[in-house]
Amino acid sequence: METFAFYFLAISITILFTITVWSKNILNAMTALAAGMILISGLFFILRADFLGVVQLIVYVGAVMALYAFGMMFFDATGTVKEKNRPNFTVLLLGVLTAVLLVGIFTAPTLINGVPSFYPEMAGATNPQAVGLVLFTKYLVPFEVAAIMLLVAMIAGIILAGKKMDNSISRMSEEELKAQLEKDSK
Amino acid sequence: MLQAVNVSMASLNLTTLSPMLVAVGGALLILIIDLLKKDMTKSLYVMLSVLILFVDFGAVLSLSINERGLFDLMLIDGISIVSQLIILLASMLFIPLALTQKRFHEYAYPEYFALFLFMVAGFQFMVATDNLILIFIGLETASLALYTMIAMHNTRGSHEAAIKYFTMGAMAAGFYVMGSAVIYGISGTVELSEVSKILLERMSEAGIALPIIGASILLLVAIGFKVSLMPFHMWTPDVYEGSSAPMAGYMSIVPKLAMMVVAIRVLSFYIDIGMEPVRYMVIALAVVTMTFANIMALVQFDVKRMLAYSSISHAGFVMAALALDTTKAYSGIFLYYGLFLFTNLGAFTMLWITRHKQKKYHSRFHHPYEKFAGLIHSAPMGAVIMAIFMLSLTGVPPFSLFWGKMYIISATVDAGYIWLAVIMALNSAIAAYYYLKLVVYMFLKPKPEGVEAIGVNSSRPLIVIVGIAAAVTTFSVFLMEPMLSYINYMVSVSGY
Repeated sequence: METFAFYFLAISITILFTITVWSKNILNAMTALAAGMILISGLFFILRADFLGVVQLIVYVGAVMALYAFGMMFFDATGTVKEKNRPNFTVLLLGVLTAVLLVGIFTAPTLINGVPSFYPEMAGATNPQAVGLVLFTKYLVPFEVAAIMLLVAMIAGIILAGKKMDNSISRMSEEELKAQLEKDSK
Repeated sequence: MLQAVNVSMASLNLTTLSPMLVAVGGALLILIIDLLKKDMTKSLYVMLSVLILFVDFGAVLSLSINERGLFDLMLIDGISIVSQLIILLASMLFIPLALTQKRFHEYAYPEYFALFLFMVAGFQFMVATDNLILIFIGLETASLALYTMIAMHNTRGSHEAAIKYFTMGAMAAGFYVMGSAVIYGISGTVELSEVSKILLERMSEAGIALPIIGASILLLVAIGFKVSLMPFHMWTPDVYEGSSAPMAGYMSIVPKLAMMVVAIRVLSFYIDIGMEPVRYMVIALAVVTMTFANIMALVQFDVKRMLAYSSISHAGFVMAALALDTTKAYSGIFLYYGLFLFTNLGAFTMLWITRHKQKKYHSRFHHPYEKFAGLIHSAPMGAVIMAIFMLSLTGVPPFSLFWGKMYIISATVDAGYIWLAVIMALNSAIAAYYYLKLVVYMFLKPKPEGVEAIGVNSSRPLIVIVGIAAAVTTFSVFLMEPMLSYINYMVSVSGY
């Protein structure tokens, strides 16, 4: 049953992501991407990683796709996109080689077996509880530093999208700068 | 039911975290001051940042060596202390460059200084652990802050630089994560000390070499991007050109040193488990980087772009030392960056002093060679000091980088790589051309007609910084002995 579910999910995800790449309609591409993201959470559930499955749903389907959708609202999403891709042999060759190399490297660990598990499944603990135990003991520091990273990202976003970036002090001459300061103080 | 986890405070060893906490706390303090009272002057924030970094410096000095803390996640060994000291020293010297004559966009934000301190904390986390996850998070925290600070200069070029650095950096981060995933896939852990223990037992198994080499390729791409080795260097000249001179100078030292420490940890782990092909890959990358970056630097019109290529070539030079895996070579890396710090600080500060708001000398560049023509007539002191930094970068004795180069080349000869030492020496000779080109422009070319004063952005703090840099660069021969014995002790005590 698990095998069937895995192959079903794997094939569907591949098809959906192929649509995402090849489709010329933004709306179709985005819907396929969202559907693929939902199905990936299925893979986590098969592996009994419930917590990660739910995170996948919330973060990728809920947050990232919603962000994309909001972004798309600024553009006309109904028409097809005209792509200017000329056939280029070098790019094709390098792209295919890179893809083959990456797939090769990623499947290489399956050559060996019996990898020890540092955090085995605990008796009597559900998956989120087990994740929580590791996250708030061993990985407490990375967890907190990730919070700092989000703070940095938030500050960065607010500054770079802020109104103060409209006029560049770096380019204003002294006279322009004085005029600007007087205008601000009024 | 789950049992409650009991962790004693003593086992946490919280002091290992204290330096980073100082930097993060300081950044939050700056944000809070800005919230409470607007329109404080820029010099307050500069001085506050220097003070916080100074306290941070003291916190690092008070750490005891070879300790682990926070569930063995933090690793305070010799190289993490030395690299943190260099990072903090560089930050303390680069942050006063905000006190310029002219006003620039980024320094109008108090958040700039907060981001700077967050970035320092990120780099500190990166070098003070051997856990691949914490290294990644530290790296991303620092990089995000760095991208933002580049863009905050708010010119067309700086936006281009930030976007370029961001997209390429995201790609490199992807490679780093994939490499870590493969390491996890073969060993079940992301702590390098544990990984090498597990893999050492299993090296005889068939088929294990392939994923190990695969992971090394992915990790090398990520490392190569951050320290700007040759095939992954494309972003460097454009980003240096677009960002402000202090930021560019900072980028040529601190992020590279932090990633170099990660590279030391990763590559020494590879050499420990007997993966010789990885060593050859690193040597090949180093040779290609040194040679081609030098050739590219020959044809640049802009001094800042030339310095960007020169920093790529210096990174290749240091990368060659990395592959040797001897205590002397590892000490050489820190010595080199310690000396490189002052030379590049001086060179980029000189560019910063001569920065006009408009591009007067060239349609695209701020600092073309022509700008410095005949500088000896209009500003003799500035010309002599700039020449000192250029000669130091060339590797002329007695200026600082000569000692670094000599030490690394002698380590290379000691390790038995004579041909590599010859290539390094030849490259230093090629590099002399483009450094001396600037000296020739300053001393021998006539001053162009109708050009106003060049040191328009100069101010007392900037001159002091240049003075410090020039003094250390010139009298480095007296610093060599104490610096070397300290670094040697620190490196050997951490087992490299």
